[in-house]
Amino acid sequence: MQTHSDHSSADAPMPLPPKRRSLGLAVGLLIAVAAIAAALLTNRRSTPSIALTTGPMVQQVTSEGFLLTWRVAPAEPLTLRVVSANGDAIGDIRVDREQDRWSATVSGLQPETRYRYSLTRGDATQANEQPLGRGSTRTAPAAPGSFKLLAFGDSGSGDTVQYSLAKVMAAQSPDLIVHTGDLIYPDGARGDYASKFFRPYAAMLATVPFYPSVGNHDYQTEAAAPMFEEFVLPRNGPKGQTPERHYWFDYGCARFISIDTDLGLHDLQDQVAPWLDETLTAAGDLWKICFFHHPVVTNGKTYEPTFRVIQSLVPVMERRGVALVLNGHNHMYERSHPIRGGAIVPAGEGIVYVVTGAGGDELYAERTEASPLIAFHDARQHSFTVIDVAPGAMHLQQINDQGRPIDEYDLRSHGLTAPGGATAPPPPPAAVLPAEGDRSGRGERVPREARP
Amino acid sequence: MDAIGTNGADRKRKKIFWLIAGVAVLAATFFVLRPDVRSVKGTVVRVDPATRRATLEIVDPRGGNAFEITGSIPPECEILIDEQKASLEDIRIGDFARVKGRLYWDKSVIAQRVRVERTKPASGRS
Repeated sequence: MQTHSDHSSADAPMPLPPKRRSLGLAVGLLIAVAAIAAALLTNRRSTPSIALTTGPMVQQVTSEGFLLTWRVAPAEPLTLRVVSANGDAIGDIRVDREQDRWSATVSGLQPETRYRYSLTRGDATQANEQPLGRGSTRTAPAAPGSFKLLAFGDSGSGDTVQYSLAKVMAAQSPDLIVHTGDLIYPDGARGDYASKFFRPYAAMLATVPFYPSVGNHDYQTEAAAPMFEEFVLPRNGPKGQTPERHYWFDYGCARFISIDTDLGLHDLQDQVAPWLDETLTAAGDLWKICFFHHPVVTNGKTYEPTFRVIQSLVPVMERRGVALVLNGHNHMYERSHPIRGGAIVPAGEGIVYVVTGAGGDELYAERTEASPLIAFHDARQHSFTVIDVAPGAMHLQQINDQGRPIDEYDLRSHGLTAPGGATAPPPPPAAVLPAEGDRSGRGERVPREARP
Repeated sequence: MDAIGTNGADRKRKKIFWLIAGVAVLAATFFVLRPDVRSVKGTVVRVDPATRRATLEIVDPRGGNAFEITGSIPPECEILIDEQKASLEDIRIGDFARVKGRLYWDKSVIAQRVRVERTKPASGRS
């Protein structure tokens, strides 16, 4: 009679005693359960039930303060602590709320000084509360101080090119950033801001003020309403226009003016041009830098120069001594010669137009025939603009996605201001526009008729 | 034995096949490349009589923002200003115009008719 006991077989190898096997399994199981339980308990304690959904984002930095914005979910007031380099707490903080966006205005600071900040839950007495967000920012230099500007546009693709270019930008350590429009592709939608703006630029946004202008793609969602929900911009634009759509601000030795060039000719002529004239006149001896989406001088195949801007704004900019115009729209880099009245003029006597639209989205082709108005161009690689701005001189570099400069240019003090401080005489009454196919830069005179 | 390609009937069928295929390709090319007649309206922002080209600012119906299109205005294009015959040199920047033209596959535009409406200022407008 055959038994089923293993011990009765003289041929099979001796397995582990069942008792030892069971014991081993039990111990292992106990250890695993203990580890999981410990992990869960630890995680439960450290995982916040509240988190910032956007920001912190530094905005509107002046020589005496700055503004910080954020969104938090679930929405509740947070405590903002600002300390100087030696640890002294700053007390002048005002917190406002507009729907689900919080903003804090910090004032009473010293110029060109770095301050650290942190956002925490609870009241100010809970000093050991883990911050939800933190960063530092440097106040602007008192006029006419020097600073480093970073400019780019046409960035919001959300793909790896944008993210990797953002890292190269952050390594430049700029003092402020201006954007020439098309922040979010394809149509400026609210839901795209997280992945196509806040995440790629998070490190810079927490420390450096970011000033956008409206692009045609941003305009596609409610005339760029999402952009104005995310940013707190100066409300000093022309009357009759949506606040923040056009604005100006001073930083160090420069005045920056942002214009929404998605508007039509009549609005640009009737409302924006007079305001631009006043704003530039009031800038005195500061560098005058305008930034807007649609290019004035370009040789891109996709978009021509923007004639409604040429008609309405260029005469004002030339009359009031604008030194530099930053544009986008064509996804490439282009730098013009100094231009005045549609013609190339000596350095310091005209406006240099820069198309810096290679900031992250797919690049565009150029026309095969070169334009004599363009001094340098590159449509083969992504890039952004870095400018060291000092009183009397600007040093421009165009940096590629490897962090190497592909172009460099120096702008000297603008020669438009006559001795004694009087402004230069206005340009001739007829604006000279570049004729299609005429690449000489001389163009054809088109009389600027009085409107009915 | 009827080897493929050597039989006369097969050769005839092949010829017919390639003829039909050729006609089909030509027809498809024609439909793709034929110019599309379009009508647009907007504000004139550039007129260049020397090269006979002009640029019209149009409002994008999706977003409401302005964009510009440039086209050629050949000598045979009909130009009217307030329903009166006019020339290209009579068109002014800022004019409101309705343009009918052909849009080609390479996005070039050739105008067939331009009608300019010179509006009077609205009351109260400075």
